[in-house]
Amino acid sequence: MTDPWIAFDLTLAGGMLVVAWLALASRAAFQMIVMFMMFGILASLSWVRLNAPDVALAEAAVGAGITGALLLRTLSSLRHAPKERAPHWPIAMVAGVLSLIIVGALGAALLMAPEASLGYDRAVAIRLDQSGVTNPVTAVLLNFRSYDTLLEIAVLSAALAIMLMLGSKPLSPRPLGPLFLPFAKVIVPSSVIIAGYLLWLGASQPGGAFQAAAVLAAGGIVLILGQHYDPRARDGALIRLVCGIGLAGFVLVAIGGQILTSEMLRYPEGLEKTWIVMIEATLTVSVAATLAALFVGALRKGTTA
Amino acid sequence: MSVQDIMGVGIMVLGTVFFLAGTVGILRFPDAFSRLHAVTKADNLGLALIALGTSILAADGFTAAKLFLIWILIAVSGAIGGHLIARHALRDKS
Amino acid sequence: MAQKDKTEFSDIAQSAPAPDLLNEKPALPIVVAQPRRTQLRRIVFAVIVLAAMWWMLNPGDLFSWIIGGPTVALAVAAVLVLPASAPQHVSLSGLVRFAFYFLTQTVLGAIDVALRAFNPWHILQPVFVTRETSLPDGPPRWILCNALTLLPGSLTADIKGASLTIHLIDPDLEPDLPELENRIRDLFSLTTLDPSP
Repeated sequence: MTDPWIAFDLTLAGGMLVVAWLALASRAAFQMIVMFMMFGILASLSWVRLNAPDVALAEAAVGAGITGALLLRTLSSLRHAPKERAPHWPIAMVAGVLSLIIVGALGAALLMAPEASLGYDRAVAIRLDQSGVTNPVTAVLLNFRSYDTLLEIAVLSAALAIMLMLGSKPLSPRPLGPLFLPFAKVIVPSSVIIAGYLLWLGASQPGGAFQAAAVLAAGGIVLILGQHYDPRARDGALIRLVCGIGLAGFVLVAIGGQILTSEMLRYPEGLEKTWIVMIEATLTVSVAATLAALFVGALRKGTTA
Repeated sequence: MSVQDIMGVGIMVLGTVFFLAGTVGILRFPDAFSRLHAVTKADNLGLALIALGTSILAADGFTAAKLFLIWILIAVSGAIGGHLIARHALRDKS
Repeated sequence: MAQKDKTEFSDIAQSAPAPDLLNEKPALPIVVAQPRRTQLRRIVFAVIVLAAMWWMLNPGDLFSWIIGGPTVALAVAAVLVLPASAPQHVSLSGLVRFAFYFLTQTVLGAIDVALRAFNPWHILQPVFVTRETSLPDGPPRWILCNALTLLPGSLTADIKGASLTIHLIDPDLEPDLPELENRIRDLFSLTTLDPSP
């Protein structure tokens, strides 16, 4: 008896290959970005099929949504339309050989991997009750492997810092007409509530800080595109503070854990959930501000490249 | 299968027919504006039917309310998004 | 949420005549001193709607308000960033009548466009028409434009003041604009201007 989903899965896998090829083969930058976003949606669907709704949510919100918005924003800031020339054949040869080596190495790793090492789910399940939360993904991200999450936030903050130093072409939104205001009135408050919901859900079900942050950032981008809020006109310093507080807060937690439990990033016993929810809430606001700031570009008036 | 299941699944299947119509419309209709008719109207009803079918299957008031919220948000985004694309296309043309 | 965009607001910045539409200056938020009571009503209304939404998403979970409280506060702050509009009076019976009409028309609109898409011999002859609306600016006009987009055959393509550019998928399918306007007046308890046919 074959799995009734097999036709769907094969279509999905085939579709992903086609979309990936279209994204790479396209010569028009806009089309490439649209294909990339479509690839993100299909990837999100395949995470659903792999029973990983957390990753699916993150992929849909971050991979397809916010990344697409950032790419489109970058495209609009480019002075010249990027032209892609066919690479010289020695470069193409080297790239081809390197790609084949990577494919071979990945294939070999997959074939040689011992069967038992398919994920940490058993190790996580055994210790889940000590983590303070009931969603294994959140438990891994913010308790067992919180060091990894800390480094991710550091990478995001570094990206923002570099962008602020380099400066960027200021955002000049076009007027969007009288119907954008009712849209913002429905979408912006809803996005805040849904972000809070995803954050709260993260403790027990699929959801969490990054997904919540992407939704919150989207609401912020609606405000900015509708010219209802101009982060450059005021609050520039405040926004930079909010952007920095995620990383700073996480580092403080690491130090606090060191003092309280004499182990870095370990939370005091019995209070794990409180600590995790506090960290996640701070991260949500901070990551959302960072994503929106990456979209806006220069946060100070007159800082242009 | 209970009557409830048959009704829920039936309504969802009907919803997919409208999604299919929207997609066929995008492929067949001659210009951007006509295609927007297909996307805004057909997909909106398609989603409404799928949400309705899912709530019948779930048989829970709060799940139904959540699905209704999703539909409202997408209906608002669809109608206004369709208008914004049309507005942009009109200005590009002139 | 559906209630929300019906009962609140009108864009103050919008009421200024838009000069050249392509070179519109970014509409700076024009701060008009609002009477304190209107502002208070707005906040209370937003708190009720958004708290109800949180409760609907987390039914019976009292602990969820640890996050829910700050979330609702932030959402209300987001509402206050957006310009307010003139408070509207929504009649409840009018809302029921309009919702029923709107839903039937939405279904008809979707069936119409689906039949056009599936009929291989059908050739579209879309046209643009320009119509003036007599509805006041703000929520009544917003509802009109969005209803037109979901009604059979029509799509609001552009709005310049009171003049709407409507895209018709078929010249015969022009919506009865005065009728629709009267239904929206009924919804907002506005006095009917046109003698209804």
